[in-house]
Amino acid sequence: MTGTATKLGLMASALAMTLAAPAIAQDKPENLTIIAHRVHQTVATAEGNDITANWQAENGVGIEWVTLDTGALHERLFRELQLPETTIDIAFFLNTHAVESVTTLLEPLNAHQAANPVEDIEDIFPGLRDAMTFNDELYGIPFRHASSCFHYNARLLEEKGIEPPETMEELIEAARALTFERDDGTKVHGFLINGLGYANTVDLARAWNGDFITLDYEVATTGEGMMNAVQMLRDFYEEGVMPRNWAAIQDEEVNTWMQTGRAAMTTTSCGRNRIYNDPEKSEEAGNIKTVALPVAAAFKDQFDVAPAKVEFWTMVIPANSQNKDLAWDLVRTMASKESTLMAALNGNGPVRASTYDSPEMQEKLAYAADEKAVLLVGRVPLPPFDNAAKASDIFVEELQAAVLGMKPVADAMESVKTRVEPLLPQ
Amino acid sequence: MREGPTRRAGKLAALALIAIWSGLPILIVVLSSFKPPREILAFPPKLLFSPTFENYRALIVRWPEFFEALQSSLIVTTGATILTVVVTTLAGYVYARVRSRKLAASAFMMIVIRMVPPIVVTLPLFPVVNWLRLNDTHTVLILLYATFFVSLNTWIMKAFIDQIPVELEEAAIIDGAGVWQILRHVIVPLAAQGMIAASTFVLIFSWNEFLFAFIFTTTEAKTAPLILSEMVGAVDGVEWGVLFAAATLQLLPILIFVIAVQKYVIAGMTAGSLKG
Repeated sequence: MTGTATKLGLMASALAMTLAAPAIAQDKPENLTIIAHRVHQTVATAEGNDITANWQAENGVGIEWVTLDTGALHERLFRELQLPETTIDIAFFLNTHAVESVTTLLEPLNAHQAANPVEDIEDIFPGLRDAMTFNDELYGIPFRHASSCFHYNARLLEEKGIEPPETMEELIEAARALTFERDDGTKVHGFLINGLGYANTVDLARAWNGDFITLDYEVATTGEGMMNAVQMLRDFYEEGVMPRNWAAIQDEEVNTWMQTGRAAMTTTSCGRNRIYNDPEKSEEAGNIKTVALPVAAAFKDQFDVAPAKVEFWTMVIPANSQNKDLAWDLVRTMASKESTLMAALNGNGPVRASTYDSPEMQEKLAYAADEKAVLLVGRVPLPPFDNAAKASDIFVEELQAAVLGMKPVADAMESVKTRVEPLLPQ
Repeated sequence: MREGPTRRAGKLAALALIAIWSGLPILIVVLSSFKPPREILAFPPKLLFSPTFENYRALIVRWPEFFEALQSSLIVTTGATILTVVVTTLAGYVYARVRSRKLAASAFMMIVIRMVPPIVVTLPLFPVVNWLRLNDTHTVLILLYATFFVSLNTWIMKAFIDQIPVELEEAAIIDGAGVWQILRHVIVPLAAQGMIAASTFVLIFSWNEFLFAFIFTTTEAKTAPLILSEMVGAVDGVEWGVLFAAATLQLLPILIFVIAVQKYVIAGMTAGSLKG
């Protein structure tokens, strides 16, 4: 009888284990899925410097990266967030989409942070954390930033006997002096920025502490800063400092013109320094220097450098994802000090102040101190709100009209104010 | 009347202009894929250069997923083409040989479906496809691509089959052939030209399609156009050489196919145009 009972017991145990096995396996999935831009995967998983490798080995869980272009990524993410459940465990999320209404679709992170905290979270630049905090609840952990710097072709400056500008006024004069015709007949333009976006114009306005829309949702286009910036672009266009096709120039063209020496100076992401000085791609490799954007002389006592634009990506966990605790554990691993430094050495824009102080970082990045200086004073080019895309379209339309001389600068900026104000959150 | 030399020269010049207009961008892409990266966008442009396979090597090393995506494109394109050709040949035969009000209504419905912009049905389909667990599978793309080409290709096949004399089928019936035998031994061999023409349309569409692939795939069934889009959207600067190499590889199979079957494509486009 006892033998029979034992056999039955063993059989029951075996059956129970068989039935329970899938449930146990489900506790830890085979893979976590991350939806991201390819650049995130590249900087996180570079060969020999993979910030996720130890975590994968320790947890026995793989990582599946789904990479998409920026617009496509958010379009896909928002569709996934609407489903009853999603297979996405972690998503990379651009600051421009961080509006309060989206928080209902994301996992609140305060409880996770309390139970299993991200190492020294205070070390992450506060402006980046604050942008993902709504009603005191944190919804994303910053991972990557792209801050604007001032890039100039040192060879051309030296050729013309010009010192690197230290104020905005000097920059304007340098741009004029650097506009000339090369011996082969090619024109060199003293200054060039993207003509189809608003962000780099906001950078210029910040040299006078100006703005497009302030963080408290005031349209500031008629303020001194933006008026000066747009007038400067208008003058540059009229004088030929910027090319005639400026209104069609995109970031990729700016890169090409800097790489071929057809443009002498620009304002764009600090990280572009790498491609401007890449000997495989650039004819001006080694000549392009990157520093913080100079501030206007009148603001020298307020800022060391212009509070240029800072845009950033955060890691979020969808509210409808299935492995939230495990996803959080991976997020905190990827946000640790060590991971931040490793990713920075792989080419990421680090979100921790301490990373810039590390000797490895200072050795690798000639402009590390300048980038840190920008991060300490910089802010997003536009606060997030539902009509942000429409508002930026209006700004670009009026900006182009002003720069091309179709409208007086003051009228165009007044028109932006009138048209954008109704779009702002009330 | 003989053509004058001026008129002839004018025609040739117009043809040359059209050829340059259409072919030059493709030529630039292909040639640039063999240029060293820093010479691709050099100003003034460099027409003479030492060809290199560096961009192709970089493509293999940095974008291995591009080749998996090409494989996916091949599976989806082949599947959609076969499915469409089979379905539309059968449908075209019915429309060519059978007359009824219900069929006329269904033909009208097909035209209406063809007019619906794909995006209108795509987004509502997303949760349905998700629920059916068909997301990120080749099957969903094959079904969608075939669906959108059934109407056009059915009409192409109908036009071809209309030109096959009914008497041939009647003779086959007298010899004891059934419907399937008629289809297999009479219709299909004579409509083969139309089938090739019809397959070309769906093949080109499936190979290059972006929207459906973007919405319904994630990793497993990702097709090549999605990877090309990612290359263009690089935040740290587009690698033009790698992009042009990928574009050349993406272009090559379809270009070879279209050149090989171009006479059938023209036949397909003009099918039925001489009927009174």
